[in-house]
Amino acid sequence: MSADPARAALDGAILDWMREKHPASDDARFEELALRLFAFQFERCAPFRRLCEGRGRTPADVASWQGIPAVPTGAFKEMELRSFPAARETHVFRTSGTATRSRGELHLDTLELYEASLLPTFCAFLLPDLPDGGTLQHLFLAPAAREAPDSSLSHMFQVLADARGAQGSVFEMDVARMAERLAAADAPLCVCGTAFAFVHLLDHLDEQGEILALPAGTRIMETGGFKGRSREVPRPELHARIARSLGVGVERIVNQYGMTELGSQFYDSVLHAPGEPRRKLGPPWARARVVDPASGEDACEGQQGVLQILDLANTGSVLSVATADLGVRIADGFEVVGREPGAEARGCSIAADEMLAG
Amino acid sequence: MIVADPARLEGTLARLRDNGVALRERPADEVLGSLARLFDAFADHDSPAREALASVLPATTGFSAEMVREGLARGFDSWTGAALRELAAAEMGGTKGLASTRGFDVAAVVLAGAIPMPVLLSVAAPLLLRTPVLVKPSRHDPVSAGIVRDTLASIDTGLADCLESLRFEGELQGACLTALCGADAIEVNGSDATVATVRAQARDCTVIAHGHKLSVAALGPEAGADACERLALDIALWDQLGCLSPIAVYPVGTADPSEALAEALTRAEACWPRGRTPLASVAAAERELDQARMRGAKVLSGRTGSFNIVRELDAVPRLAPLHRFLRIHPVADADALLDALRPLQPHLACVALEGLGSSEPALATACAELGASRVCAPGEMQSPPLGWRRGGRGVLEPWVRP
Repeated sequence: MSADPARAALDGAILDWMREKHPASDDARFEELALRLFAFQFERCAPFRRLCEGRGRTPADVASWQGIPAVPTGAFKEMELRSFPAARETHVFRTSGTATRSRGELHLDTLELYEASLLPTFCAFLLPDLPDGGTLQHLFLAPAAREAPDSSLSHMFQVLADARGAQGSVFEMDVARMAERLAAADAPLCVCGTAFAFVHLLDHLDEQGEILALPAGTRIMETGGFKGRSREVPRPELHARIARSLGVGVERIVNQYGMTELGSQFYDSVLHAPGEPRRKLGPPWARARVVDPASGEDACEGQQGVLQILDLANTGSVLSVATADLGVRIADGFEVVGREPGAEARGCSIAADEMLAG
Repeated sequence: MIVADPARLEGTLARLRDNGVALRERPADEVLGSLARLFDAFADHDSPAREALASVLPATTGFSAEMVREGLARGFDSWTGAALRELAAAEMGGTKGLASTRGFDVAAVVLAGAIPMPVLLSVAAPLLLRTPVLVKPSRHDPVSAGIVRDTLASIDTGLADCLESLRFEGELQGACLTALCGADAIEVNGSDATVATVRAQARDCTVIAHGHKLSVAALGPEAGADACERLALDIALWDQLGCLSPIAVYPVGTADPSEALAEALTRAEACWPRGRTPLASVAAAERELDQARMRGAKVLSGRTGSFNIVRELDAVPRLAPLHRFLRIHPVADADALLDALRPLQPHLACVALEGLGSSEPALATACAELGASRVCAPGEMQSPPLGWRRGGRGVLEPWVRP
């Protein structure tokens, strides 16, 4: 628990919500906690304070959570965004990157909120059929946390394995060995990995001419995009290939929308609300906005806008994050529709991001 | 305009290749004469060709009508038939040199961006070497190539028969790219990724690549009082989407020009309004502005977001959202300027210099050594001469068969 009383009080209030048996959406509770956290971080995080002052939106001016300025994800690459003394830092999660691209960093003085947020959310969206405390064999197509200590995804998978992984749950990066494990499965699985790792697995199965039929009740979670990768596979195509090669219906394939900069994650609704339109939903303590960048107001339903996430789990950094993703609102959720287009659309003048990418 | 498929591309290239036999039998001065008339048509403010561009480009590209007219004037006015003859003389030794020079049997040109001047040049250069050409227009300007062809047809139908424009659906890849690379030479304009894709496919085909570039300006203490007005024109024209548009200004040992540039860009907006800005570009600009605020940089924006200026605290290169988004990087002296420009070296196109006193000639030379193929005064960045050696290469030279 933080030595800062204000922070400790906030963490405590938010943890209470996360640890409820059935945490429910509560507008007033969210608003009250968001505004308190905003005021706290405004005082303690100088770059965030400069953003708020530059936009003319300080705690004195803002009366609703929607008015809290969102920090662009790029800022996590450029500056250390902490709302606690640097000396108390215990963990740093880093975004994936290459030698030529800088990596974003999430600085943490505790993992308590991160872990408290991820478990009930994952269970609600991936394991809704499991009884409280029930376990399922998890296969993670990802490096273990000890092999990738700065990967928030590996840490998340480790927490899941420890809490909900039945015997036989493993981390496996070798696609041939993973294929063998999948082929040998005789009970429902939860198979989790990055989208790109699944592409490698599917390529391997194609090369071997193998088509698997995973046990009924199996569910798949894939996450992440293809930025910086040599190949891009559109999500519907990826899901179709997973369904064909693993014998798991697309209605049991869940895309997770998360990012290193956030403590909470959003998931496709297909297992949580079967029969309803596929959309991204999250826990009650995190909210997504689809924002018209020109006006800063919420985009109308169906209209594209920039995705902004306000996440109360981010008590140690900044609570509101402006992503580089475009989305559309769908009922009580959203869907991601793309990222900023490449330089081709900008004409022949190079943008410095390409130049900096080398 | 007809949509390309592999079979149509192969057929078109074969037909152009056949037409090239007759083209190569034509006297070089006759071809030069027809192309000179083509250039005169686009240099003439009142010609149907200019009017066609001015009337259709705003709708197809999203640029404002006022900006398009000004951009066409600044770009085309000096590109006359006489200028083309001078170019032919300078690079090829005139009609005598052209007559004795062998071009390719057939060429392809992949266009990019939404600015029409390069379209005319990319089409005319191979034709001048009596090389028929198949054009893939840019998604962002599907019309200029057709207007060039129609104008040429009104001047010289035989020469127009050696020019074809085919629209592509989707990306340049797969069987269509393979078919396009059936040409003997291919000029590709676009991103590094596009250039790499074409290079990988073009095994037996000469590749003339024009990758994405950027431009900047530097102002010294002796810069003219109207230097910011002229820079604002360079920024406003084509909404910074051309490689000759400055994305950054470096005040060299002088006062911060941010306020003056903001005022000048406000006036520019009244004369040449910014065009349609894609949602993602608006979002990118907002993100960059917020990030600038977080590091303590000064932000100035037009009332309706028609321009954005970030006065940085350092000279570190950062994202360029374009659409009239300018960064100001103060530097102490000429050496600091060159240090700041060095990371831009592989992509530098044009550097505008003014008010740098006795150090200016040496700086111009140093900028050229850093790869800038054009060094000029503010206000002239968007008006390169026809003979501009883009990327350090001649206009016609790459079209000579090795």
